[in-house]
Amino acid sequence: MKLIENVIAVEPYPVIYIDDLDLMVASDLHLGFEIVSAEHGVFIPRVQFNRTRKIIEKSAKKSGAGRILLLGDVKHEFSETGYHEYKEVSIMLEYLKRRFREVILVKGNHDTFIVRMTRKYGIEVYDIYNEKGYTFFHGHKDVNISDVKSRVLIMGHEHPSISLFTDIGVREKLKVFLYGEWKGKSVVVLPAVSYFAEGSDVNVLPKEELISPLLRKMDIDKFKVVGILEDDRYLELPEVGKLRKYG
Amino acid sequence: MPIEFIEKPWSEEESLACLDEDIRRWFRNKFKTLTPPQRYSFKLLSEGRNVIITAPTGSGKTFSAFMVILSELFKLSKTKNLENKVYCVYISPLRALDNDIYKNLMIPLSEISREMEDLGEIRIAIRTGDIKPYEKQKQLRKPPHILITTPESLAIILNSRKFIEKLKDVRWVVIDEIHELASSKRGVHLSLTLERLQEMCRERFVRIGLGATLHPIEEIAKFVVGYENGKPRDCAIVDVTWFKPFDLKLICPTDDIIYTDAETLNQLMYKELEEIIEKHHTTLIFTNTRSGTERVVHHLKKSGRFDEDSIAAHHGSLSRDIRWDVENKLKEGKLKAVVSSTSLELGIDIGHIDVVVQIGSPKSVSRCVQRIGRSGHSLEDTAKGILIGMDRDDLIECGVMLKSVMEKRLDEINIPKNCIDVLSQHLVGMALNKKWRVEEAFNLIRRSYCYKDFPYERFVSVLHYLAGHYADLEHQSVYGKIWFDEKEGVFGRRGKYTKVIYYLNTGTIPDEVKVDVYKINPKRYVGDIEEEFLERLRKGDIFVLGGKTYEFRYARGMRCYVEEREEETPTIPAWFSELLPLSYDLAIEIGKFRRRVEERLERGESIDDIVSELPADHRAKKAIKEYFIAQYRYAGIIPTDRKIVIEKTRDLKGRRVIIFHALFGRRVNDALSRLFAIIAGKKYKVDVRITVNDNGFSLMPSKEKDMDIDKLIHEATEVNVRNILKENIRKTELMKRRFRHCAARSFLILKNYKGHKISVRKQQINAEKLIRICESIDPEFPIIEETYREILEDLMDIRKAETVLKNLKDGKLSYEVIETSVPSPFAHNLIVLGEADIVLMKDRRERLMELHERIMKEMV
Repeated sequence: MKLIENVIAVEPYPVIYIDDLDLMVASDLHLGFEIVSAEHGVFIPRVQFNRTRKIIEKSAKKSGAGRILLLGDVKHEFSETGYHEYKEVSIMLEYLKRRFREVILVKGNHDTFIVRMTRKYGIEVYDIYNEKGYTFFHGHKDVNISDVKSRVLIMGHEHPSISLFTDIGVREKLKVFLYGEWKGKSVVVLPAVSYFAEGSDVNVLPKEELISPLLRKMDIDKFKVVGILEDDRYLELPEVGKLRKYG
Repeated sequence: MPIEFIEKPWSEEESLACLDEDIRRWFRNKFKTLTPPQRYSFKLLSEGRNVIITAPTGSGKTFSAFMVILSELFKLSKTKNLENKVYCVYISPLRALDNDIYKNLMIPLSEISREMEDLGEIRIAIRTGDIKPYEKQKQLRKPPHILITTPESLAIILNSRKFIEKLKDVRWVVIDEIHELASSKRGVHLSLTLERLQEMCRERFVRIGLGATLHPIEEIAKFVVGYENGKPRDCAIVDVTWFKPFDLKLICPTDDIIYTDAETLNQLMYKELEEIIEKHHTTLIFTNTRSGTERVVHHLKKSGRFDEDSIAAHHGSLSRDIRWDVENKLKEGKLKAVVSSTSLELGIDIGHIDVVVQIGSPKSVSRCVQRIGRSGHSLEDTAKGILIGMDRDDLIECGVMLKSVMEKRLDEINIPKNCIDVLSQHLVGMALNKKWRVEEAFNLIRRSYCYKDFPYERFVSVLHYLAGHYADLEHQSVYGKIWFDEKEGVFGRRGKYTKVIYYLNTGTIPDEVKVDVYKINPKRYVGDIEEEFLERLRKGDIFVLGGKTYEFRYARGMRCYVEEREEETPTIPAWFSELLPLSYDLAIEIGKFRRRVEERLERGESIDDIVSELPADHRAKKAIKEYFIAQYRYAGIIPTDRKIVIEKTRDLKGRRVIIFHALFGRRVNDALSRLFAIIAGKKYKVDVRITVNDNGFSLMPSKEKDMDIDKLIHEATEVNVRNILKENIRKTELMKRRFRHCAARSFLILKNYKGHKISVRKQQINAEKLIRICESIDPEFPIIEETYREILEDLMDIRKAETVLKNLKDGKLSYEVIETSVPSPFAHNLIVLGEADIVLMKDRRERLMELHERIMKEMV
């Protein structure tokens, strides 16, 4: 599904493919989530790694992407990385390296110490990555927009989702893509690939409660919404502002 | 005979002859006579028999157990045979009770010791979660001869390598307040603890069970003594429940209970209450909820009729110091009135209470007896109880309840069985003790009443779960709590943290996840709500918190933001409130009473004398009478224990509602209502909103449909209830909440790890996702199975629901369908109850597609 010119959401997956760059973008993988949880006493069986690999493999096949960019929070633990998490991230990077012509990594707030892993596979790590009129950043830090020359901004971090209530009062939550215009630029906010990441309900929360400082400045009520239904299709929805009354 | 009822007491002489002579002298000086339980117990215990004693609080039943034990200890001490080890373990559900027992044992001990020279020290000590490490050290060096503890602390002692050595010659285990323990997972947990302790002891110990109201007592006896080789161990039963006389009365605060508004009714109720308090020296008041307790205390203090310091609240949410202070003031006679929800039901020392007042129905005869039994200056004194009925159903319920008390009928305790989560905890504990053969461990747990029929395959699947076999090999070291080799048939300890996990997470009482509530402007903390409550809230909903009404705005993480909205009507009822369900037995008694009334009305006869059987005041009788007559005149029929009435009607907004007048108590109706909602929903392709209370349930289809009740009933009697309910429960919030509790008890989600309390945020894994993951590993994943079992058997009562359906099929229970334009009087409480739960027919995907369609249509 086309979000903006040359930027395609690869249905039904939470990733985009940028035509003119031959680049697939996936954000917020949070690898190692279960292991980190287990180390904190919450013994969630490991399922995320295989799911994530499947999502990347299938969307790569569908889009035919030759390159991939990971848009931050590849791993889950903030502080030092444990053995099992290290291993999980390494195996994923090794797979990506094999699967794609090029792997680019933009750092997120969880990606401390990631260089230890990327160095081994010769993967470049950026805070902000620019290519042919596109700027990619994770979204946890404020960005001085007047410095940005690109026409299109791609970000993650927020894990956007929406909550909808049915007639009988049942709450349903969907991961969503957000996209719209801001200060003459196009903005696309990616949903989290992670199975466990809980999102910000953008149609319920007031703007000042969003976690991304940059997103707080934007008028996201005018942003359009594409929801992901049960991992098998998209739902095209109206703008955030119009969804507020369903939240 | 393994379980034997002891019908005749022994004489005082025979009984006292069982005691050591010095003890006997002391006892004679101190007490005029033996209390009824003592006339049974001295002899039985001196013969070393297992005994269950049921007798009212304050009847000296604890002493009846301890006199013989003290006597034996004195004998050992005199002959210099008293060793440095634990002879007796006393277990109660409350730390406060432990403290009381300690004090009550120290008195005779010091008094007797004073009279005797050359007596070795007899030591008594408390061991609960409160005690300091140095005290534990002391207990290890100089073990108490009598150890006073709680079920949880005893379970931990089992894994204390050094201290357990001191317990290997335990001769007596006393379990107090069994009625409180046996009906919950705490009791299940204790039953396994006792079998593990027995396994470690050199000799078989004597078990002494004490309780105020125990029914059916044979089953509870088996629960206490356990099984050996598939047969219950021997046990003598002493039942003196009823020797204390009761003076009971039901009152109605108004002449006209229908047209008195809630505010006025409350005022009138308070007036009654104030008069009762003034007429008595000390009044104990029970409400059914903690919030009710707070409201009553607030009102009484403000009334100006009493010194503010002479009124106090006592409930579980208050800090230990405050409760302790209240208990002391009570003992000193400094309080005019104390208001409690449940906490004062148990045998904590509270001094003399003249009268017990219960506001609203206590929902079970046994609970009623326990509460009212707290009054009366001495044990021969009459226990005086006043029930205040707050609506017409309440009045009938209370009336029949008091009649049951007079007729000495208690209701049954439900003892949970085969709980996988509790078993998991103990298996981890057992693995820490030593290496086990699977068979050997399986035989041990089957000695517990609660696991005597536990299937072997299930046992093995629990071992697989605990060994982390659901994870791939490489990660089993992270997930496994035990090591299990199925081929060799052995299991044992694993991992350096497992011991700490066991210590810090043992227990069965779930932690509720609390969400902080903040006012937005100015930003201020106003209290907390349960996470499950939050899940039900949407923007604009009004709810009550700490007596104030708030409008919900939004939530972020573990915080919820609200605005204060004065005097707005709440849109969300606290539907999962603390309200107790009506016991099935009492429900049936009420049904029988209704049947007798209907028979009279059908013959055109007066019902005055039947209603007069109820120990109620004039106004209560009048209200009850009018209620029956109104129902009969309007609907021409009264639902009874043998007849369900199904009423097709419309609610105040004109929506179609089908009311099932099925008086079986909420636990049964919860199951029945869901079953009917599912069948109706499938048949007519609608979502159905259900409302449940003790007297019946209602179905409200999302679209107007004319339902064929005969077909619904026929289908309901033909299907596999358990499977259908499981499928339905799977989609509910209830499932998520209970799953999290079971997962915590099974050590899948720890409350405490590596010495740190785990932050709520970390525990905050979405339960729905976790359930789905577990299902994908194994649809019968042990914790999922336990969640279903807990909901169906403990929270609901699926067995009784199945009985009801079977009776419907066999014609033992009939039903009649009526149609009314306005709901009949008996339906009113259900109609005003409002939203309770929703039975979803469509899956998530369908719902979302519909929503999407609607939204897109509105956009055009």
